[in-house]
Amino acid sequence: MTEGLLEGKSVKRSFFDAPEGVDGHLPHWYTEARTAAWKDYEEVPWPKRKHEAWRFADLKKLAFDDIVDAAEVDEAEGADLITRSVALEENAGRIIFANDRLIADPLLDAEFAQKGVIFKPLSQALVEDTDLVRLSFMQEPARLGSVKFAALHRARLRDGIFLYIPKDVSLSRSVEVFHWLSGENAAIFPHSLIVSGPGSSAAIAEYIASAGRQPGFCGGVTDLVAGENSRLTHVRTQNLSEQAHSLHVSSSLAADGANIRAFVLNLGCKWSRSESIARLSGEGAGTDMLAVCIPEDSQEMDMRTLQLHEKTHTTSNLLYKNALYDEARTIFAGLIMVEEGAQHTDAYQTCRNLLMSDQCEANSMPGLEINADQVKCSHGSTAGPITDDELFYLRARGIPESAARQLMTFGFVKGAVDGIGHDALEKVVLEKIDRRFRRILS
Amino acid sequence: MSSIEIKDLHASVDGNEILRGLTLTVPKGEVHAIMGPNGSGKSTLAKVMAGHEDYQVSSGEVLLDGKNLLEMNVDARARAGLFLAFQYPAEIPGVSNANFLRAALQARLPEGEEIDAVAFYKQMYDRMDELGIDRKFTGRSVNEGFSGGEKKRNEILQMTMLEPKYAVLDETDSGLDIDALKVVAEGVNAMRSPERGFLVITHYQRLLDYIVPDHVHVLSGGRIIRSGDKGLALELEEKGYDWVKEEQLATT
Repeated sequence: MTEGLLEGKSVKRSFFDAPEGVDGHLPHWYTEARTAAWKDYEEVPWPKRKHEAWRFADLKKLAFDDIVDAAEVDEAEGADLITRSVALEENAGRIIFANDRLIADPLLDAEFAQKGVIFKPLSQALVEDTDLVRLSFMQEPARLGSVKFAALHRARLRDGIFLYIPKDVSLSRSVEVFHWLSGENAAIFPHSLIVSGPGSSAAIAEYIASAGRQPGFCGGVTDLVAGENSRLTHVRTQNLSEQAHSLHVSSSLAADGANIRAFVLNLGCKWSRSESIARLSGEGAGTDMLAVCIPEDSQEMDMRTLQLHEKTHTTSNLLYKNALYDEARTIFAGLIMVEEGAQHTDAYQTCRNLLMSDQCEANSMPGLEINADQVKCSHGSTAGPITDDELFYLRARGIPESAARQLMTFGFVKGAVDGIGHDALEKVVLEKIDRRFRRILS
Repeated sequence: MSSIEIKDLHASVDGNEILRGLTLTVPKGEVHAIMGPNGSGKSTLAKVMAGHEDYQVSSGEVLLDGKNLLEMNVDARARAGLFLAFQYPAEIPGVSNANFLRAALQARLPEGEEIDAVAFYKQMYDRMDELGIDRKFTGRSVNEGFSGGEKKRNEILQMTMLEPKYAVLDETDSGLDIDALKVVAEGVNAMRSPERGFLVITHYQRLLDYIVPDHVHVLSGGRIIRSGDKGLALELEEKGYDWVKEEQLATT
């Protein structure tokens, strides 16, 4: 158990031990798949940098020792983490986990429970709503390189959330999920499965953060499944310790006329990777993929995306914005794939990097694969510093240099936050970004 | 003391001396125009006054109410009361006009003091209405995607909000059609007061039909070669810049 995650000469392996058993009352289909997943994890080879899906990634940074399954937090820490679990001023419900265990009773407003909304721990939903969960649980293969880690997630998954919005129900306030990671070298595997029925709408925020500054690992999965003409907004913020590692695999599936907005904020981790797949599997479906990364020191943030257009009149809009400080690195690899017959596709992909130091490094690999002829697609990536002209202009109005830089950097990333299109959630995200900048500049 | 005094100013860019002993005083309450042919140093003067780092001052002084501007950094000069309306205003993506103006005003307050947001918005909307700027521009990024005329109006909006002691208008008329020019001139004229001085830099006399100057100076070869009243601008328009240059040569 004390061996590192990487194989090779000096590198040891961790998660050497099979995961602990799960409660016997969980459905057979689930436990069987869990056992199979552990075998998959062991069999799938470790990624190599020469693999296209891992190009530019510093795999050495993924090497870490002594990772252990996170243990239950004690009562005092649990109470402290509950008081720290505050984001939206108003929500329709919230669930708080520390080390993948509930630390407070899950809340969902009665108004929505009566309408048939399900918002509960996954462990509970697996038993109580097993058919609903089974339909959508980890149906999307991890196509962007992390097959091994998706298997690891499935094999070691302890808990997460299941959100289900029935047909034509509108969740007028957002629900929130807090995931705390606590303890030296602790590993968590948060899971979110979000399913919207036809014509429904909902917004959900997931906050993943470390309780302290210790190293640890987070291997999360988020799956969004939007039914016909439904609307889903999802926000995930990652604010883990700067010693931690994170590997998150997300997917979204949009049926006819469905619309999904997914936003990711990456702040913490020594090394983090985020894979996002948006599948537009219904006619007229649309998605917005948005992200903001603000790495400093020697943080590496690696984002891999796929916009998969399978049907006609589908729209996707990707906007990723990175502000890099110190010796930070970002990697963006995005592919727009338009399948045969997916005519009248509109697909856009933009990754912008604001370089706040001379030592930082932004890598962009945009890509297009178009197999239909009536499409509008564009991709572009930029990397550059704040220009002297911009800085001079602000200073010529009396704004001191540091404030001018902060204003411009904040403005730069805000462009992606604006795409969330949900005032309360935008406010939560902007507050986190503002705190981040204040800390970097202080 | 209540003036901008430029004394024997020498400045260069990339080793080329552009300003060669420029001397000029703009007292509060007056509007001075500087006219000059291309390459005479008009824009260099504006940038040197504002503190642009590409320009090196080798000698001379610029005093704002007796304080040496050249010893201050760019933003301190602005807070001391100098305003430069840019010939080519920069686009600042992501920073809204409202946040920009707010930050600029906030920078002028003592530490710990916060801007009154309600009063700020009221003032901004009033000024925008006066300048015929659509209120939706408050939320738009500074100058991003603005037309030439919109950018110039935005400069004047900033000037009216920041209420400087002295304003330098660098070829504010360039790229403006006659309607936009009138709006911009009205904005400037409304700001004229015994408490404020203006230095209007222009290539053409046209702007001075709308912003009527108290004094006109001709800049050539990096120094003022002739000064007069507003009649000088008309004479220049009629006879061209070569006329003053030739006259200058004849008398020296």
